[in-house]
Amino acid sequence: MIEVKSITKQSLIDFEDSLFMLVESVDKFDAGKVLYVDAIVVNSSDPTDYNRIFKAVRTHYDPDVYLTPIFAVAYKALPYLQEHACDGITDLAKYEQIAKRVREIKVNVEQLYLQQQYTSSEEGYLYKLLQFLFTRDTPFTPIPNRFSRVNYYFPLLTDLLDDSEDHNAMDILAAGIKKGYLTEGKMFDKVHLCESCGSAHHNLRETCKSCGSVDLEIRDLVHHFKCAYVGPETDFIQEHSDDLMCPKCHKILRHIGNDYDKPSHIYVCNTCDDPFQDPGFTYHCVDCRDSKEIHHLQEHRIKSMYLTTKGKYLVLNGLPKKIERKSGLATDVLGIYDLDIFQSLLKQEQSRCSVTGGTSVLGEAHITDTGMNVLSRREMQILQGELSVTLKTYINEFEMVTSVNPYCYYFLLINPDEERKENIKDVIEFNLQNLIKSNVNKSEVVVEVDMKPLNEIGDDFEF
Amino acid sequence: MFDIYEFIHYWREAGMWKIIRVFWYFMLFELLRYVLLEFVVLADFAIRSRRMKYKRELARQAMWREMPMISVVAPGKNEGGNIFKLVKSLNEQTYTNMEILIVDDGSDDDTPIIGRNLEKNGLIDKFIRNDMRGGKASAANLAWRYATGDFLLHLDADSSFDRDAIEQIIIPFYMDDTIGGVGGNVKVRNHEESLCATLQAIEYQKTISVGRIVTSWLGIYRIISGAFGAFRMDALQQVGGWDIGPGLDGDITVKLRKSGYKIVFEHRAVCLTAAPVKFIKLWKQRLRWSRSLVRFRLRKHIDVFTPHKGFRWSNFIGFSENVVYNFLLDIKWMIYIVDMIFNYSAWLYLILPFNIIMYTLAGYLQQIAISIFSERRSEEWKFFLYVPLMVPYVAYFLRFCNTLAYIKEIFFKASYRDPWNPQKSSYQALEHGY
Repeated sequence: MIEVKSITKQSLIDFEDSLFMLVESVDKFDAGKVLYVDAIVVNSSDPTDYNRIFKAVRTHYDPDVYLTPIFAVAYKALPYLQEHACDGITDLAKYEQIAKRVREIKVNVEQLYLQQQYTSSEEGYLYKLLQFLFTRDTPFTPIPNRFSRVNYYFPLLTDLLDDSEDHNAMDILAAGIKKGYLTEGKMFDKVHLCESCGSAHHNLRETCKSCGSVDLEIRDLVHHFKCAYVGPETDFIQEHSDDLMCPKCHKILRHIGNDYDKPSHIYVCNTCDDPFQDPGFTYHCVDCRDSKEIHHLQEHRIKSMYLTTKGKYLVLNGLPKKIERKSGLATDVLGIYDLDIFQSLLKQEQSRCSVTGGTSVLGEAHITDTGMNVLSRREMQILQGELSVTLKTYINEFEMVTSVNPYCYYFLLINPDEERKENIKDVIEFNLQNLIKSNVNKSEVVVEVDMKPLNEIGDDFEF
Repeated sequence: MFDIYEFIHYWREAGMWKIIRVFWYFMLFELLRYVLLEFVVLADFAIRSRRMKYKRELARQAMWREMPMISVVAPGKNEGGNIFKLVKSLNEQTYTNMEILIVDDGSDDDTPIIGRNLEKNGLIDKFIRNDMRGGKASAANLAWRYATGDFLLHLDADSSFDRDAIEQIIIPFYMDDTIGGVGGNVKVRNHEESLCATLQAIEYQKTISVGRIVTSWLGIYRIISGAFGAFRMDALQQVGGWDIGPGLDGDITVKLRKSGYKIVFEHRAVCLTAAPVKFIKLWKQRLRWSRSLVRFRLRKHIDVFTPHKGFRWSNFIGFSENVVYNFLLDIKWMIYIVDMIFNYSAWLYLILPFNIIMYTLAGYLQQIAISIFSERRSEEWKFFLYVPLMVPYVAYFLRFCNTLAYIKEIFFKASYRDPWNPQKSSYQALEHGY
């Protein structure tokens, strides 16, 4: 049953166990008050109202505010962007559907690790995005938007960034992919951004290669079969007649395909008179007014994205360095090291390999298992410890293991041959899978092992 | 069995008149024209060349002072693979004030990509493409339409050049203002690839390197090779550029001559070109070339033989020499063969070897003359080994090919069906009697 608590511009609606803030005018909207409600319902057909509410809510410092679901009241005139940027569309009389969605989001928000510190605003934006995707449990899908400088609205990120920084959203997403928090889905578009300012708003023009002028004229070339004369159509045009007359043999051209044809065309620059067939192509940025050849445009692929297991673990537990102290790694066992020490030893081995031509490899065991999410933090730590000890038993005494989180393990193999690499991969995948299945109820575990030679790993390798 | 003593005895006893009677064809036409006349003219040329040296040096200096713009044009189809080599060769030239225009006549290979790339990288000045093929003449005319130079240099894309070739071919224009076109010295680059190419290399030396010195000196030079020829731009304007081929290079030379311009050959301007390496390909090429003699000399420009306002004796003599020595002599050759078969059939086994010996000796004399004027004599000495093979090559292979071409053109107008030219153009040429 719906209960309206106050009849103001921002009515509070209590539906079952959820409290909705119904916003009908943004003038008196106060994002701080969102803290006390479970969701916002915007009753407006004006796109700018939505933009202002999105901006106010998503840029708020408090996760309980910026992660609040926002719904739109169904309007025929509601633009595509606003319709898809919201968490859902509702009818003023029917709150059942969105109440269910609000509860799902609320449960996810409660699981988040909220004490995270950031070293840069970009890192903070990425972290917020990961939280947002975790709570929504939907793929990240950019939405076409002609008002954006990059022609796309990136959920949450566009709201966090200034209008002039829209293109930075793509850098933040790229960082998320590089760090392994996000994985790419289907590519559905490309945008081409100005090299100088990152805007996608530019005019493409054909230009004269000699003088750069855009004042070009395109003319058909005419071939008169009889005398083999070929020239632009202007050569054949007469001042006081509509007839085309050959300038070489002075015959009137009558029938295309019979006595003449137009085999090609040619551009003529009205500024410098230079004729050419292959004009230059430049873009003129509407925002920064820069003009460059089109190969200077920066191409970006627009793709949907998904949160990875690593990304989920991050938003549930914080950055890896925070949890190292509390990790379940059995560092008292010889060959099992904290991430810092493992990284140092790995670098040392990389240097050795580059000098001696060694063939050491870095192995990564990645676990995907939705069943593990039900384990408590303590149980996770114990499992992490057990798995790392088990993993160590499959490799030599002088080789080493570390773990970033209970889902991800790294091990270093010193100069293994191909056969040993294959054996270890098979043993780890098979045994870890069985071990987890025997410890976790309803487990649908998949263990994947990947091995990379150290000489293929750059210095900036992200664990 | 051939008896050498009988052979020597027979010809010793035969006497001069009998030899002339039996070999009238060789004595009256070939020895007179291709050995005696050429030697006289070459001797005169060699003597006067020394006297002309000063005049030529003045012309060279005038050219360098003026530094005229040369428009280098290379029209063609599917020549993408050759364009880069051509450009490299042009970049090595001592004369540098030139623009390079490549016209692609409807290629269906990678030529447009290669051409556009060369244009983009500044290696050529203009790449113009006709999506629909129009024929070589239309492609040359398109290049001419957009050429901005004082002189136009027409090349084949598969040609390459001596470093001073462009400088040498332009100098004659500064020696005489009435010169409308200059033909370059075309030689065979791939003469080592096959016997067919080697024989053509020797043939080119005889007919172009030396033959054209002679015709040029006599004022009857009648064909600026499409592979390497230079034209004064205003002269091209006057004759309206190229007309429909095949044989358009000979046609434009005649048009210039008829317009009153002098045409000269410059043996110092050397261009190397690729010749067919197989006889079957050579056969087809020569059929095409020979058909143009009938089409242009005997049909389109037949007025050269008749008195009219622009009548010139040099054109008349040049044309007559061309028709007599290429067309009529082929017919006379047939008569000669019949004469031999009917009148001397019992002695053919002695006549034929003597004939071959005479032609070979004449060939060696010509080869010596070639060597004297060649700038590559150290590379070309091995051609002496192949001189005996030139007898069957010229006397039989080329003669039969030419005769067949003349017959097909006279009776069937075969050149109008030649796929070398697009049908749409050939149809119009036939319709209007070109």
